[in-house]
Amino acid sequence: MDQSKIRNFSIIAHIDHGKSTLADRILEMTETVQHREMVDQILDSLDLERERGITIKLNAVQLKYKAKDGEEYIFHLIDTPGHVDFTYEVSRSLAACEGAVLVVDAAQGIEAQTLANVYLALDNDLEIVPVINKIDLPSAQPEVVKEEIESVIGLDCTEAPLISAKTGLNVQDVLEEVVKKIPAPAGDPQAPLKALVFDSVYDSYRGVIVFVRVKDGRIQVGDKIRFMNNQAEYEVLECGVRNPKEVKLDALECGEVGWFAASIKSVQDVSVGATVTKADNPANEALPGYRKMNPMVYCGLYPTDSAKYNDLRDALEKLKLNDASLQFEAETSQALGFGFRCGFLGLLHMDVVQERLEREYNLSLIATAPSVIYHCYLTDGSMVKIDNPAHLPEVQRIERLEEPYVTANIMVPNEYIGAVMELCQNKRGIYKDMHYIDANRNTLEYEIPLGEIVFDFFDKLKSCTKGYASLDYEISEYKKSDLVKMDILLNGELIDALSIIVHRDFAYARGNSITVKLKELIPKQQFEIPVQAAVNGKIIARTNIKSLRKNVLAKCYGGDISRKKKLLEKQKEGKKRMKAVGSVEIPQEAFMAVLSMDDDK
Amino acid sequence: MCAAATFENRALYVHIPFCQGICAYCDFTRVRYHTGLADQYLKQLARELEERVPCQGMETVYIGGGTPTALSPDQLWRLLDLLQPYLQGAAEVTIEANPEAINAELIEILLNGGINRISLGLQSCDDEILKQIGRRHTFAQARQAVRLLQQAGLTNISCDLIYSLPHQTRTQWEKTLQDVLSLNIPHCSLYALTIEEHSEFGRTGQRPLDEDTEASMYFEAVRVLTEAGYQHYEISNFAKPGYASRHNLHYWNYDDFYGVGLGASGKLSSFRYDNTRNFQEYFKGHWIGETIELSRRDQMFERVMMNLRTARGVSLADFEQKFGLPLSEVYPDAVQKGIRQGWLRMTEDRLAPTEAGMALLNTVLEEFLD
Repeated sequence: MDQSKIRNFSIIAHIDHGKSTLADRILEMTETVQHREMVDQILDSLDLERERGITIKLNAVQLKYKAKDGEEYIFHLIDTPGHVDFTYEVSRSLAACEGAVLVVDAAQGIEAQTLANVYLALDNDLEIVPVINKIDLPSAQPEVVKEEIESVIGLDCTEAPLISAKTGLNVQDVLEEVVKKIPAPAGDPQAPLKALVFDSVYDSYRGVIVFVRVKDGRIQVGDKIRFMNNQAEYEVLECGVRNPKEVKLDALECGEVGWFAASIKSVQDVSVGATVTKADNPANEALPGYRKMNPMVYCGLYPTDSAKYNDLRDALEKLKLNDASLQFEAETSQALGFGFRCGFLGLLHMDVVQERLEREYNLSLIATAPSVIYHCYLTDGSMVKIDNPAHLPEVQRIERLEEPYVTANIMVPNEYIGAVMELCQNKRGIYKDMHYIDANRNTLEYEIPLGEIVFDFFDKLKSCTKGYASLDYEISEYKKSDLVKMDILLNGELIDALSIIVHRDFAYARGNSITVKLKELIPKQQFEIPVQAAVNGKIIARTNIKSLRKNVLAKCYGGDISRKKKLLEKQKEGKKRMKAVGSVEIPQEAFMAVLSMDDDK
Repeated sequence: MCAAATFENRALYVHIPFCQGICAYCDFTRVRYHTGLADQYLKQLARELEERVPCQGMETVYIGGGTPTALSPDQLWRLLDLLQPYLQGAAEVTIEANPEAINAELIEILLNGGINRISLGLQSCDDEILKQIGRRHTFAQARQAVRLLQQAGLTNISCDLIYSLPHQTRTQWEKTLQDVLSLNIPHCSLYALTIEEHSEFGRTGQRPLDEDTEASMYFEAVRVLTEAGYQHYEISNFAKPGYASRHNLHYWNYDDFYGVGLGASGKLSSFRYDNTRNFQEYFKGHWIGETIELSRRDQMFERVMMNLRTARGVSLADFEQKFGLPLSEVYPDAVQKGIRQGWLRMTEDRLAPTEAGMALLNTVLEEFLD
């Protein structure tokens, strides 16, 4: 294989700008995938990804492209997630590439995450190929968007292909640009092996499948390899690429992107960002690896059926294998029993992990409300980190509480600036700056508590700007805040899993909306249940769930017997998905009640 | 040709799947009336009866729908004619009718055809509500229909009412109950609205009233009707002494019964069947859509489930005779819990629901499920 004919690249874009559609077209045009096999958005292989139209997991495919210069090139296309929660995954993909195709929507222009992804690509010294997509839309303004890219990002757009990934128009120009602009991999095939692990999955038959980019040397079946971070050694049993089906090869050459299996049963041995070398001819030093991303949002995950605790642990370990940013440790709750406190990059990440646990591992879970990490300074001068509101020390021992803030960059058309400013203020944001992108759009910079962002900031932002605003944020610093712990009592019993930390000024309103929400979510039971919110032992809000007086099917004649029985079985099944806490049966959704509530009410 | 009737099975249900118009709350097996289709249907029904139902010894026959009175007078006459062998000696022969269909000609056909009980689709006594839910009669028409029937000697009349309708107030419901009392009929059935997915209400996303208001309406009805001398003999059914529906009691006693016609169901010892809901299949003579075989455990539960709908509840002797085990041994926890909670009471020979237990029967029955 001729190393100079290899091109490794990712596609980066703001969410919905057409990244996955472009990837599909490229796969089709390089005849990697036959038309008849084509399921829309092939690279999004998790069901969840296809359903939600987002890319979460990385995926690398090898394509063959016969260019206009008559030569055949080998492309490795590595897909990247577009959502702000998954910035870390993007940086992982980019480290395996020499270039990135930047897709910008011809109607929407540059968005917050376009910029964030471009900066990540520049950090990784990648060549960027700008592409203007969706030029078939009536509202497309390709020339305006080109100018915007040139002025805001400083990328030359004279040769940027104007394409429609949907119809396939000019997609070939993108492939030609990849050949021309993106450099071939620079590694030395004769040097000792250095391969970067950028992903891995667990296969019950073959153990861990490791995805690597070979930077120097080559990997061959039969090689004894070593992970440089923990010295674990294995023999390579199989290796190959994906196209996107798995293709087995004898070796992965220098510059290639592919996978290998080595009967690795211990999932802890493989960590993303690690360097693989050969046991008999090791490299001197490891590759730089990745910037470690720390979880920003925590929640408790508990099996509805306590007997499934170990199943949940196994499932979390398997997920962690290709999701290094997922963290978890065992915890117990008085209300929910044994479970895990889990850390996530953001709310979407949390949602995705939860859904994968339920779907792929068939677990029924209760998730507690998400929380950020608070720094709690005690009167004795020490500091404790609190990732679970229930663990906040008593108020007498607390000297002050600090919470994480983010710097949020919000791109917004002029007419919505007022609405966004109001939203940020309601979310305790501190105004920092505003600058013009062009005549119609601005970037607003705010410092906002992360705790407010994780609630429903993103949804609110979308709804108050009709979807036109885009958001990117990064953690800035911890600041002192007037925070209090709010407890929820059901039937007089404190439910630790429902405690949250809120700003004192918002406690009353939030207490009200949570109690009302719980009243809606908790089904009536045989007795009246008071629902109370309390701060420091003082009740600040209260509602009552009235007792159940009637629960019976009105009609039940000869033809209704089967239906009626099914209904009763369903009702009984529903009870199984509830958690009996003390005397009260609480459905799963109730523990997330704090999330979906509307402060405006 | 008639097969021999077994002693056990003495109830027959006949389904007429036609309506003049489709009501907002309905998801039954029914289509808009069409003459040709109805003619063809009656022919098939005759075949099904002949092949599947022994023609003697029915104690009760119930003709329901749809709306049986949607048929033309001539078709109705034909229907009753082909049912004649089955009506011989029957103690109760009911037909469902809409108030606007009742007139002298119809009453004559019914009386000559052997009908002795009428179930009227009254639904409400409030004209505003009747319009809202897509009914095609007024309360005045209903009152007139009842008067005509009573004058003709057809006094065993029942009426259906729906409550907990969207926007219905408790005052409106109380007024409807009073109006029903003034009709002086011996039976009524009161149904809380369930929004069925495939009904117009379901499709248009209508919401029922909140559960608490629904419960209040239910208890109000129980109070008003029992004070007026009706017996609350089944969760949704009230009758003056001697007027409980004998046919429906067969269902609640968990007796066997035949069902013929599109979408009808039947039960024969350990089998239950549901007829097809598809006209084409039905016309081909593929009447039965699904047959379910019931395990002993299924039958035990279903018997309890149906029996506990009635104020009489489960006969302990019958249960033990059927299954060879006493009820309190099969369901020790459920029985005890039900009694402890005040939902059930045990007498020497019966396990019966209390008024509170009737209203919470789903909760009570959950404990009887495995």
